[in-house]
Amino acid sequence: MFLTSRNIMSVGIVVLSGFALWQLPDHVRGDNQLFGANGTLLPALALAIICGLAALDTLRAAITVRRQSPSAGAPSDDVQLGKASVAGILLVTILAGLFAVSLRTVGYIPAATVLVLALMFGTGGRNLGVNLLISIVTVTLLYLGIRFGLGAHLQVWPDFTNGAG
Amino acid sequence: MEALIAGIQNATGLGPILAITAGVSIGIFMGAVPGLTAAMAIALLAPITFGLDPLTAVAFLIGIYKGGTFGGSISAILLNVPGSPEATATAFDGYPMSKSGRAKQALQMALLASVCGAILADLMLFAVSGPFSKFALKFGPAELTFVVLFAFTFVAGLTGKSLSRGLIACAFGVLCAMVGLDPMTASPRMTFGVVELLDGLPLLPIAIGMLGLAEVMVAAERAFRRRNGGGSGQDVTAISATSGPALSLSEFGSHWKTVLRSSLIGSAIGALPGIGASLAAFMGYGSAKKYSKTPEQFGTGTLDGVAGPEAANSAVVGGSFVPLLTLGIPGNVTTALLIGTFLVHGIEPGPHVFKTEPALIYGIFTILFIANFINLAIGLLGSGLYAHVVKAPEYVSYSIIGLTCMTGVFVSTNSIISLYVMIIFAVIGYLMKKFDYSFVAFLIGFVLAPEFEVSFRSFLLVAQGDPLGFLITRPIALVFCIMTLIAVVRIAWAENQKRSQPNPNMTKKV
Repeated sequence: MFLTSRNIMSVGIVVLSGFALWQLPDHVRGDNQLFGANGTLLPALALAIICGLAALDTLRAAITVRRQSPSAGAPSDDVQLGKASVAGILLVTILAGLFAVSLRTVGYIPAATVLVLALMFGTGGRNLGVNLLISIVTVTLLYLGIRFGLGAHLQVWPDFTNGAG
Repeated sequence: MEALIAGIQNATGLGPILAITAGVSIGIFMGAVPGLTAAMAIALLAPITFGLDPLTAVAFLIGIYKGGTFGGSISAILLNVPGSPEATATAFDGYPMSKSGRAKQALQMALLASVCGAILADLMLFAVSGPFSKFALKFGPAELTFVVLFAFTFVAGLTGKSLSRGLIACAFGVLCAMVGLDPMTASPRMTFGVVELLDGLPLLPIAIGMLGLAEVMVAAERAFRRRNGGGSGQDVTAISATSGPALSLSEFGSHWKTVLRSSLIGSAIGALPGIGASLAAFMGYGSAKKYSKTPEQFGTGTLDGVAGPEAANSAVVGGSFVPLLTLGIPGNVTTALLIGTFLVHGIEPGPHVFKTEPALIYGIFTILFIANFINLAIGLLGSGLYAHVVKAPEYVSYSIIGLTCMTGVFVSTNSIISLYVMIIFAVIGYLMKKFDYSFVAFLIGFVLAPEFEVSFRSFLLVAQGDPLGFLITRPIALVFCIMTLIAVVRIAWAENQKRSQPNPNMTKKV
C-alpha cells in the first residue's frame, strides 16, 4: 500500500519544495554572479536538497511497495494522524491565534485567562471552579512578574477608547 | 592569569550566584515534570535574561541546563516515567530501588553521580578548550564551511531515524534562516514584502513554538484520545522521596569506577555534535553492566545502574561546551538555544572569543563549576519537594506552558507577527515530531546557517571558480570533507542494512 501518511507527506514535500524552487528567483535578488556565490545559492541548494531527498524517499517507498506481495498491508509503524491529532492541532492553533488577534484590543488579563481556561479544558481539566481559580492565579502571577520583575508594560484591560491595535 | 582572576571574580558575584540558584531550581523542576525538558525551559525563559548582564544571563541558562539534566532522574526513579529522554536508562534500576523502599538512596546516588560526572566533564572542558581554540584560530572560510557541513551531516544522521529525513530537516532550517537580508549584499530575500521579516525569522519564537507550543498540541491530542477511550491515561503513584535508608559516602565511593568511566563516555559524546545525552546515558548504563561483577542484578535495583547513566548524561553538558565555545557549533538543541542567547548578549562563541574576551570565558568555566555544587545543594534539600511537583496534573502544567509561550514571545519581541511565527512553527514542529523529521537538525541548521553561508560564499570567492583545486590546498578542510562523505556513506549503509532486514511490523491485510 503506497498511500501511507508518511508517503503522502513525502509527496507533499516534493510538490511544495519544487514549487518554491520554481518561485525562488522572484523572491531573491541573485544579481551578483561572482563564481555562483550569490544570494540565491544557499536557498536554492537547500530547496534542491529537500526536493531531491523527499523524491528519493518517495521513490524508495514506491519500489518497496512494488516488491511486496499483494497481500502485504500498510506498515504498522506508519504515522497515525487521526481525529485526535487534528483536534489537538486545531485547539491550540485556534486558541493561540485568538490570543494573538485579541491581545491588543481585549487586553492581556482577559485574553490570557480565557486562553489558560480553554487550554485546561482542552487538555483534560474538567472542574470549572478549579480551572478558573488556577487560570486567574497563573495569569495574575505571570502579569505581576512581567510588570514588576521585568518592568514590561502590557495593556491589561480592554481599550474601548482606541480602535483595534 | 589576570583574565582567570577577573573571570572568577565576575562569576562569584551575587548576581551570577543568584542566577545559577534560580536556574538550577527551575531546571530541576522542568526536568522532573515528564514531558518538559531543560531545552524547553531555556527557550521559554531566555527572553527574561535579555535585560541582564551577559554573565548573569549565561549563569541562569547554565543553571537550567545543569538542573534539568539531573531533574529528569527524579520522576524516572519515583514514577518510572523519565522526566527527560536522557533519564530513561536511570529508570531501569532507579524505579526497582524505589519499589523496594530505597528511593532516597537512588535519588542521592543519581544526584552525586550527576554532580561528579559534570565536574569531571567541566575539568575536561577547561583542559581541552584552550588548546583547541588556538588550533581553531587557523580556520578560514574553507575549514569553517566543511566543519559546519560535517556537523550538519552528523546531527542529521544521528538525531533522527533516517538520514534523508534528518538532512531534509536540516536543509529546511537553513532555508528558514535565509529569510531576511542577504549578509553580503544586503538585498532582501524571501520577505514577501513583510517589513518585520527583513531582520530574518526570529530564533526564539521558532524554538518556543517547536519545543513548547508543539508539546501542548501533543498533550491536547492525548486528552482527546483519552476522551474517545483510545489512549491510556497513565496512572502513576509517586513513591516518597524521603523513604528508606540514605546513601553513605563509603557506598558512593565504592562505585567510583562506574562514575569515572561513565563521565569519560559522557564527556566524549557531548563533544561530538548530534549524538546527545540519551545515547550517553545508555552507553553509561551498558558499560556499568559490562564491567560489573554482578551484571545479572542490573534491572532489579543496583546502585551502579543508577550511577552509570546519570554520570554519563550529566557529563554531556560539559562536553557539549567544547564545540560550542571553541568553534561556535552547537551539538544539541540546548546548546543551539544557548548560542542564540549568547548572540543576543553580544557574545559570539568561537575561537576568537578566547582571545578577545578571556575573562568572560573563564567566568563561564567558573559558573559551570559553581552550578554543580548548587545543583548538589538544591538536589539534596529539595528532592522531597520536587517529588510532589512531578505529580501535578498534565492539564495544569501544559496550559501554563501554553500561556508562558505566548506571553514570553510577546514580551520579548513586542510583536504580534512573532506570535504568528511561533504558532506556524508549532504546527510545523508537531508534524516534524510525528513524521520523524528531527527538529534538533532543523534548529542546528537554522542557528548555523548564517555563519555557514558567509563562509561557503567566501570559500567560493577565494577559490576563484576552482573549489576542488582550492580544497586540496587546505588539509584541515579536506579532512572534514572526507569525514563528511564517510559519515554520509556510513549512516546510509547502516540504514540500508536495517531496512533490508525483515520488518516485523509489516502487517498482513485481513
